[in-house]
Amino acid sequence: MSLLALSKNSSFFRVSRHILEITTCNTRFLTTTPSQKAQTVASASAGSIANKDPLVKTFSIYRWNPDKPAEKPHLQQYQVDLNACGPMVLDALIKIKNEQDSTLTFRRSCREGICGSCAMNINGANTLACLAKIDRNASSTKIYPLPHMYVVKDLVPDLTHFYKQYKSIEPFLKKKTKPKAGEREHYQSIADRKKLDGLYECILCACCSTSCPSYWWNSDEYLGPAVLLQAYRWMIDSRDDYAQERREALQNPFSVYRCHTIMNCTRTCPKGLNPGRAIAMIKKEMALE
Amino acid sequence: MKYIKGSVNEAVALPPRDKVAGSYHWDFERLLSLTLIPLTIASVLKGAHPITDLGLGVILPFHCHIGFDAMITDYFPHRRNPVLNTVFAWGLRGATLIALYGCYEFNTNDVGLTELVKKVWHA
Repeated sequence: MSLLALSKNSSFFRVSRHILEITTCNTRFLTTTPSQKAQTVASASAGSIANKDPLVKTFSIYRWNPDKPAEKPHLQQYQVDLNACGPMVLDALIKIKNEQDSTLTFRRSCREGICGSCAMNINGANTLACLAKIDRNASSTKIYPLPHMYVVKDLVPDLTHFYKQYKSIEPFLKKKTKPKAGEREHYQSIADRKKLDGLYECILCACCSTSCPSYWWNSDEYLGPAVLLQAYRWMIDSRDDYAQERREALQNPFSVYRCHTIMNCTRTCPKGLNPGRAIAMIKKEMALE
Repeated sequence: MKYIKGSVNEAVALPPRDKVAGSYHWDFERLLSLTLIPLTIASVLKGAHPITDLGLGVILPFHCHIGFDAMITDYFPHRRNPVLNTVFAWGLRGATLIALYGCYEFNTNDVGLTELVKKVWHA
């Protein structure tokens, strides 16, 4: 009996919440019209954007224009009302570009941390702008391009060399035997597939490589954490037959051994991966060969 | 784009393969570090002994040599500073040889490394 009453109660709640939702929808729609009635409704509903006092924050953003190479790079300040802006740094950047300065240049695509385009240095740490929350308490946020990279414009670094290094580790499946007739797939056990977890998620945003002091000094020869994590991803793939050859190719003082386990890579990775461990595993397996 | 070697789509060329400079060098480096652990513990617990002093006098200079050598390779690589790299590399080799000879002399004709550390510690 009491159970029945409870279920009745909850269905009543559901209906009332439904009505509430409709009313909030209405107020949101009405606030855009400047009528007296709409004003009163808007002030009645808490959490409305128009109702909050503006919370202005300064964004200091690195600017450099290749069309005026004689002008030194500088920080430009933009004021953004956080109460009229999305929660992430990328939202603020898009808002600035839309409303204040259309010449501000940055890469962005998926706005959900899966493409790696908006990698930049925010308040001294490399991260994805779309995954970095705006600090509402600090009065200013500094945004630079990825450190120690050639800058194309503003927040856009040149990743050409990084991609050329990625290509050098042959990031694709290599087999020694041809598939037999009728064989279409390379099967893999669940345990072998598990070894790729924590590696395949890497989106090559270059946050880790550009945070590594060793990569800053020797990026022309040292492959860097991102590329080495990918190299390891193919070395431990049970379907790949060239693990030893892949390691053999790295037998020199620079490709791997410029890693001094500084671990900035693991600290900064916006996807929470551990490139430092991947490099250590490569070193461990090379040590026994 | 002067800083990009070759075409944009070419993979970078990896440095020539050299196992001695690669994994063997790394193995040797770790081996030296590992042997220093029991030597240091023995010297701390048991005090000076000619054999541990001799071991420390040989392994410590090599250990330091590899550490300094890594710094030269990191900050003055041959492809960027050919002259400085050569000067520092040979300077380091000379310094390591002198240190080895000095440690040997100090261990045979003076109080030895462990006693020295003890005296400095209490000084």
